[in-house]
Amino acid sequence: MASMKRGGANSSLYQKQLRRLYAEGLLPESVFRTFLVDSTPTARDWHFWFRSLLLVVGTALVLVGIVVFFAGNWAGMRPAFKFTLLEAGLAAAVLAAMLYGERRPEGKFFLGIASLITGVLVVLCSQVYHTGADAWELLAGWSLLIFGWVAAGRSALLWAFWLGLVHAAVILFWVHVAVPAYGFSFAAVALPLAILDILFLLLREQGWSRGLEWLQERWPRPLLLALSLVLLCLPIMEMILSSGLSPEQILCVPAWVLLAGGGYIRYRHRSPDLIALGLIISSGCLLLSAVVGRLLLAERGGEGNFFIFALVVLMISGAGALWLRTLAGDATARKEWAHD
Amino acid sequence: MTDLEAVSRQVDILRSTGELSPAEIEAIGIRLQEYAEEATKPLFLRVLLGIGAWLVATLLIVAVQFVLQGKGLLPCGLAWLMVAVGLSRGGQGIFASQLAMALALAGNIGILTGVTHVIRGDALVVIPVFQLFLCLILYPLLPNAVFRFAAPFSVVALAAPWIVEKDALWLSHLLVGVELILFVILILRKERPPAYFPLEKALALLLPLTLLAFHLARIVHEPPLPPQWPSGLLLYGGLLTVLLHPAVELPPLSRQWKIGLPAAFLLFGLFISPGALAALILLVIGKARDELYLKVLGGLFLPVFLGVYYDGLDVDLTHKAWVIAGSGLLLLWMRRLVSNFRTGEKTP
Repeated sequence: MASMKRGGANSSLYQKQLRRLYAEGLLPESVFRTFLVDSTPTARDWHFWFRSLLLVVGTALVLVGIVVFFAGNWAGMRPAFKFTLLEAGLAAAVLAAMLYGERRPEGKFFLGIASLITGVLVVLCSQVYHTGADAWELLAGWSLLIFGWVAAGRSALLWAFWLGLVHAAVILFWVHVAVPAYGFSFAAVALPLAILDILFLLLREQGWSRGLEWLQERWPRPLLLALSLVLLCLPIMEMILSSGLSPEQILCVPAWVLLAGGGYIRYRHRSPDLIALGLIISSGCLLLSAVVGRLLLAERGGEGNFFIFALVVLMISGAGALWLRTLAGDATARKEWAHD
Repeated sequence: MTDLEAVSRQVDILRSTGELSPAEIEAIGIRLQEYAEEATKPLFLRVLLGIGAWLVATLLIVAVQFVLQGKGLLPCGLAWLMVAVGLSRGGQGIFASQLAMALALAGNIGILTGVTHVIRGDALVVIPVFQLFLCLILYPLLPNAVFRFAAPFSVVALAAPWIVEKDALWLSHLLVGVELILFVILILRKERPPAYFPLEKALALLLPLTLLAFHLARIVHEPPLPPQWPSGLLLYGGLLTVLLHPAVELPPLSRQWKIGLPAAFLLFGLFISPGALAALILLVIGKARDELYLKVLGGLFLPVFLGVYYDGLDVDLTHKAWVIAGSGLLLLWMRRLVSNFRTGEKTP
C-alpha cells in the first residue's frame, strides 16, 4: 500500500470528494480507508462531542431559565431593583471586558453583553421616567451610547450590530416622522444609509488589505454589499414601476452605477469574490427585468406580453447566470478565489 | 493546489503503484472532471437559477391562465414537462438547464391546477397522491437538483392540509416514519449514487419541519389532541438504529455507555418532543459523516424543539423558569457523570 502524504490534502473538501468517489463505488474500500483513517471519529472524539453537547445545551437552558425568571417577574419588581440589577450587570460586563482586553474573544463577548444591557437600560429609563420617547429615539440613543465601545471593541460583529441599530432608527424615523410630517420618499433615507454602508464597506476592504486581524472574516463583505445594493435598488425600482419621480430617486441611479461598476472591477480583478459578483449581477438583472416589465406590462390587454416577459426574464437571468459561471470557470482555472 | 488537484495527484500515485486498475482510473478521471464542472456552478449560482426559474414558471402559468382558463393547463403542463425532460437530458449549457427547470416547475403546477378542474373527487386527497406519482415518475427522468430537492417538499406540503383538514393527525406519524426510514436508508448506504443527494438533503430538512408543523398544528387543534408517542417511538428506534449502524462507525462502547446512552435518549424523547430526537439523529449522522449541513440543521432545530416544548408547558413564567434552569442543571450534572465513563477503547 502506498504511503499517502496527508499534509496538504486533509481539507474537508478533499475528503468530501474522496467520500463521493467511494460512495459511488469508484474507490476500493482499502484505498478509501487509507485516505480517510484520520477523519473517522474515535471513541474519544465521540466522548468529547457528547460532553460538549451536554455542556452547550445545559448552559443555554440555565441562562434561558434566568432570563425567563426575570421576564416573568419584571412587572412586579420595583424600579430601584431593576436599575440596580441592570447597572450591576453592566458594571460587571465592562469590568470583565477590561480585564480580558479587547483583543481576546472573551473581552469582545463582554463588550457585546454590555452593549445589550445598555439598550435595556435605555428602555427602562424611558418606561420609568415616562419620557415619551419614540422607538427611533430610543434606538438612536442606544447606538450613540455604545459607539465608544463598538469603536474600541475591534469586533466586526459588534460593528454589524451597531449598524443594524442605526438602520432601524433611521427607518423608524422615516415611518413615524418623515413620511407623516414631511412626505419624504423612501429614497430620502435609503440613499444616505446606502452611502453609510458603502463607506463601511470601503473601510472594511481597506482594513482587510492592511491585514487587520479582526477584519479577516468573510461575512462582512457580502452583508455590506447586499445591504447597499438593496437600499439603492428599492428606490430605483419604485421609480421604474410608479409614475412619480423625486430627486433622491434619480440620485440613486448614479450611486448604483458607481457601486456596481466599482464593485465589479474590485471583485473581478483585485479581490476575486464570486458571491460579491453574484450580488452585483443579480441586482443588475433585477433592475433590467423591472424596466422590461414596465415597458411590456404597463398597459393591460395583450396576454401575449406575459409570455414575452417570461422569455425575457429567462434570458436576463440566464445571461446573468452564464456570466457568473464563466467568471467562476475562468477564476478556477487561474486558481483564483483565494478568499480573504 | 486545489482540492481536486490533490485528489488527482493521489490517484496518480495509486496508478503508479498498481493499486487501481486502468478502468478504475478512467472512471475516477471522468468523475473528477464532473466535479470540476460542478465547482463552476456553486450553490449560490444554483439558488439564483432556481429563483429565476420560479419567476419564469409563475409568469408562464399566469399567461396560460389568462388564455386557456383552468382545464387548458393540463395539456399545457404535460407538454411543458415533456419539453423539460427532453431539454434536461439532451440540452447543454445554462439556458437549456434554466429553461428546463422553469418548464418543469410550470408543468408540474400546471398539471396539478388542471387536474383540480377535471377531477370529481375530493381534491385534497387526489392532489397529493397525484403529485406523489408525478414526482416518482419525474425523479429519474429529470436530472435537475433543484427539482429533485423540491419534489418531496411538494408532496408533503400538499398532503399536510389534507391530514389536518380530515383530523387524521395519526397519518402524520406515518409521514414521519416514511421520511425517517427513507432518510436513514439513503444516507447510511455504503454506495450513494449522486442522483439521490438532493433527496437526502430534502429529507434531512423535511423531517424536522414536518414534526414542527404537526406539533404546531396540534397546539391549535381543538381538544382532544392526538398523542405524539408514535412519532417519538419511531424516532427513538431510528436513533438507536443510527447509533448501531456500521456506517456510523461508533467505536466499541463500555457497559456504562451501552446502558446510559439509550436510557438518556429515551428520557430525552419522552420528556421533550420527538422533534428533539430528530435533531439528535441529524447531529449524530453529521458528526459521523462529517457533513456540515446535517450539523447545522441539527444545531438549528434542537433549540427550536426545546423552545417549543418549554413554551407549551402549562405553568406560569416563574415555575417555567425553574423547570428550564433545572433541566439545564440536570444536563450539566449528566455531563459530569459521563466524564467518568470509560470510552471502551482498549489501551495498548
